[in-house]
Amino acid sequence: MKSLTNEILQLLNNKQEAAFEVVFKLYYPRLVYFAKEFVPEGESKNLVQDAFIAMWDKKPQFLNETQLQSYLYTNVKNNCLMYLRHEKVKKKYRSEAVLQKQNQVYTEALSDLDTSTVTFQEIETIIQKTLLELPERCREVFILSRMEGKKNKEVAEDLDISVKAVEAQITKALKTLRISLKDYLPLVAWLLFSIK
Amino acid sequence: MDSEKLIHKITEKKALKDSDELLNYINESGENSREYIRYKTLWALLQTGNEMDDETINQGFNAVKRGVKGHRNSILLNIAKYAAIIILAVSAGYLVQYADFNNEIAINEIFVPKGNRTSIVLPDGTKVWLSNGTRLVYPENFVGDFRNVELEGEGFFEVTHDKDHPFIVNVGEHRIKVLGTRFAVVAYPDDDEVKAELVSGKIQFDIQSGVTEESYRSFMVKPMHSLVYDKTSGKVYESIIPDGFHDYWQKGIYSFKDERFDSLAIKIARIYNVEIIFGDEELKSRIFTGTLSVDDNIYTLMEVFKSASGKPFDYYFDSGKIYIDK
Repeated sequence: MKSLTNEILQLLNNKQEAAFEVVFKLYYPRLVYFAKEFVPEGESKNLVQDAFIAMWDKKPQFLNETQLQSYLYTNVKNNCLMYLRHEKVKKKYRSEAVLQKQNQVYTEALSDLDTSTVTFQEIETIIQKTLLELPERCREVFILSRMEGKKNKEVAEDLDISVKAVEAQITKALKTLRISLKDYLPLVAWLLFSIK
Repeated sequence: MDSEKLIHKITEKKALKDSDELLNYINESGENSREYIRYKTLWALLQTGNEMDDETINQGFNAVKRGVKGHRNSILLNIAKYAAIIILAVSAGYLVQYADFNNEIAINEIFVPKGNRTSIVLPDGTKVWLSNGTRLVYPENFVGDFRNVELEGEGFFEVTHDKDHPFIVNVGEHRIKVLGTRFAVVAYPDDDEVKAELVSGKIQFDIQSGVTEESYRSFMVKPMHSLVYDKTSGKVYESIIPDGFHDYWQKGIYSFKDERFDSLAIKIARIYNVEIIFGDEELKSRIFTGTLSVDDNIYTLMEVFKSASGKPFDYYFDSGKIYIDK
């Protein structure tokens, strides 16, 4: 999942706005989609923007991208938690029971979520492992679509194959992957499905 | 519901509240609920956001740029909005407790979970850094002769100067009275001590002396000094604070010199939200000197302690706790 070069990190550590923009454009979408799993869509954007504003104000130093990831996800997680807690109080007397239940479960999920660097290293390791299990063509498709974030159409163009073939490779990847890693892979697999 | 079905439900991106099937499933057992949470968080972490178009990304970036430049206050207010967890107007119990405040004014309460830090700006412009299991209660607007806030835990304050309206940090029954200054307060209700550390300016530490509610023993704290009130013995100690101690607040670095392992363990527990359990009494008295960075991860940190220790020790992690043994 690494897509930032050390050079960019270096520039970011030197407080270069251009590097901040690169980081923003790479991480904003995935953080918003992360937050959207727990808070309403409009709020998710605000909460992620707040995290970036705080990062620009504080200008923390990062040794590697995993640290940066951990920093951003931790801040977004905390912002979501604050939102959910605020919501809980605000709606105490008028919300439906299901929404309360949802907020309670989401709060529990976020509170338990470990956003330290270890988690991201672990996910990285898992992705590396899955890569090794794939046949070569599958791996190429996986790298382009998952790690470089390309859409199926772009992958097809890059590899000079049809979109259908890309889809076929992904389906093939799924079959291989599902058998191997129990906990993460069903989700990686679904994720691959969702990329259009 | 089997795992396959559960995952399918999660990946449909349907909110929990909109699916009776999911709600029933997680209500069935704690194990089901945990399974749902496990998949839900993993799914959230694995989002690439590839679906987002460039225009939306650029809009986001512009919003952040606007936020960074100039509109500082409005952003901080925005953050404070999420932070303002409890609006007291809804809670009669709190209103009684805070009869000092005008009933019309909303009281904000901010709570920082263990292992986290945050900073906020109070309505008078005073900036506060809070960390590690800390609760701060403050009014939406300061009215009256004093600027009263209430703290449980650790906070570093940069108080906006206003000599007509002294700033008061209430810690339990004690208080710290301020004119305009930079100082830290460490006052966890379960600790044996209350500590005020002054960087610059002037503060007065009022210790409740018990005769009446308004009777205090007052101590002036000198700049670059700390004053510790020992709750058990009732004694007060003064000491010089090391240079750069407030780095902890602004840069997330905590420096320590010749500090015992058990005392460090308490700080580590707060900073990293992990409990340390000593298997052997002797380990507690080992002395360390160095720095902790809030951004370090706990695993690296334990390795550093291990290699810094003169005599070897072993440690292992188990369900959120670290066990240390010889």
